[in-house]
Amino acid sequence: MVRGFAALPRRLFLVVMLLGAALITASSLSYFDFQQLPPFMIEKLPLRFERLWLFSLRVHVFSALLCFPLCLVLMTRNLQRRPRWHRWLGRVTGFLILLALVPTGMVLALDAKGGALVSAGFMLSGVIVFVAMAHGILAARRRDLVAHRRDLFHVVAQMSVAVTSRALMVGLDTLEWEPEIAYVIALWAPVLFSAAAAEFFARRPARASGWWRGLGRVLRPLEFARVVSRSNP
Amino acid sequence: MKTLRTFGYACLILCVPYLAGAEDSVGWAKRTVEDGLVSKLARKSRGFSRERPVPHERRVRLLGSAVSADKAGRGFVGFAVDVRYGPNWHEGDIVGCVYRDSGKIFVKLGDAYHPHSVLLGKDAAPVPGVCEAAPPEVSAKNGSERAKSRS
Repeated sequence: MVRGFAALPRRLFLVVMLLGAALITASSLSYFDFQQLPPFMIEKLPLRFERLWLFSLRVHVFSALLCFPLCLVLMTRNLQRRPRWHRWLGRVTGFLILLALVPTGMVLALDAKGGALVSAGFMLSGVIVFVAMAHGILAARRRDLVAHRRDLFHVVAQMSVAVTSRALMVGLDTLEWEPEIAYVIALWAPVLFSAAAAEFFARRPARASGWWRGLGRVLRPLEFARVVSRSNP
Repeated sequence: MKTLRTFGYACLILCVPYLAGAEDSVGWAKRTVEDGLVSKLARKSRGFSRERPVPHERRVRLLGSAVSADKAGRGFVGFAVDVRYGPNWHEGDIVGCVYRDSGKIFVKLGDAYHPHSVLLGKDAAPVPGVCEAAPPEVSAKNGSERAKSRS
C-alpha cells in the first residue's frame, strides 16, 4: 500500500504521457501520406527550403513517435530490473535522439511560427535534450547511475513538452485566447516547468519520500484495519 | 412638381434592376469562394497537433465591386478571407482571386498565386500572371480583340 502510493505520481505521469503519445501518433499519421502536404506545413508556406523542411519534419515526427514511448518504457521499474534490455533499448533511443530527433528539430525551429521567441524556445528544449542525453550516456558508461538518472529525467521532461504543450494549446483555444500569444505561452511554460520539475525530482532520492511517504504512513493503519476486518468477519 | 416627382420614381424603379445586376455581377464570386474554399476548410479538423487552431468563424470579403481583367483578358474578382478567434477578427488571413468564367480560385502565398487546392493539401505550383489586373490599355485592347473574334 505504502509503496503503491509512493509510486502513484510516477505511474500517473507514465499513463498520461502514453495517452498523449498515442494521441500525437494518431494526429501525425497524415505526415506520411506522400500525396498530401501536411496541414502543419501548409500554414507555413512559402518556405525557404521546402524540401529540406519537409524531410526534417518527417524524420523528426518519425523519430519522436519512436523515442518518446521508448523513453517512457525505459523509465519503468520493470525494464530497469532487466539491465540487458534497458541497455539495448537505451542505445537505440539515444542514437535516434542525438542523430535524428534533435538535429531535425533544430532545422524546424528555424522556421517556427511565432518568430524568434518561439524558435528560441524550441532550440532551448533541443539543447537541453541533446546535452542531457550525451551526458547521460557518458554517465551510464562510467556506471554513475545517479548522474545518468538526473540526465535522463531532463530528457524525458523535455520530451513530455510535446504532450503538455499541445494540451495547453487546446486549453487556451477553448478559453478563446489569441493563437499567437497562446502558442508562445504553450511552449515556454512547459519547457521551463519541465526543466525545473526534472531538477526537483532528480535531487530527491530514488525511493519516494516526503509527503507521499507520509500519506502512505497515514493510510497504513486503515489498510491494517481492513485486513483485520476481513480476517474476522 | 408632380411630374418631376413621378419622373423621379420612374428613374428609381428603372434603376433597381440595374443596381441588383451590379451587386450580382460579383455576388457569384463570394458564393464560389464560400463553396469552393471556405466550406472545405471548415470540414478539416485539427487533432492533437501544433497546427494553428481552427478559426471560430470565417468570412469572405470581396476586394472590388467590379470584375477586373488580367493580361489575358480573363475576368476575375479579388477576395480576402477574414478569420475570428475569440472576439477579434484578423483581416486577410487568406487573399486571392476567383475567375468568372472558369470558377477557378487562386490564393496568394508569399508573392505568388497558387491554385486553392494547395490549402487543402494538394501540392500545386504557383501560376504566373493570374490575379494581376492588366494596365487599362492592355485590357481594353484584349477586350476589343475578344469582341472582334466573337463577331
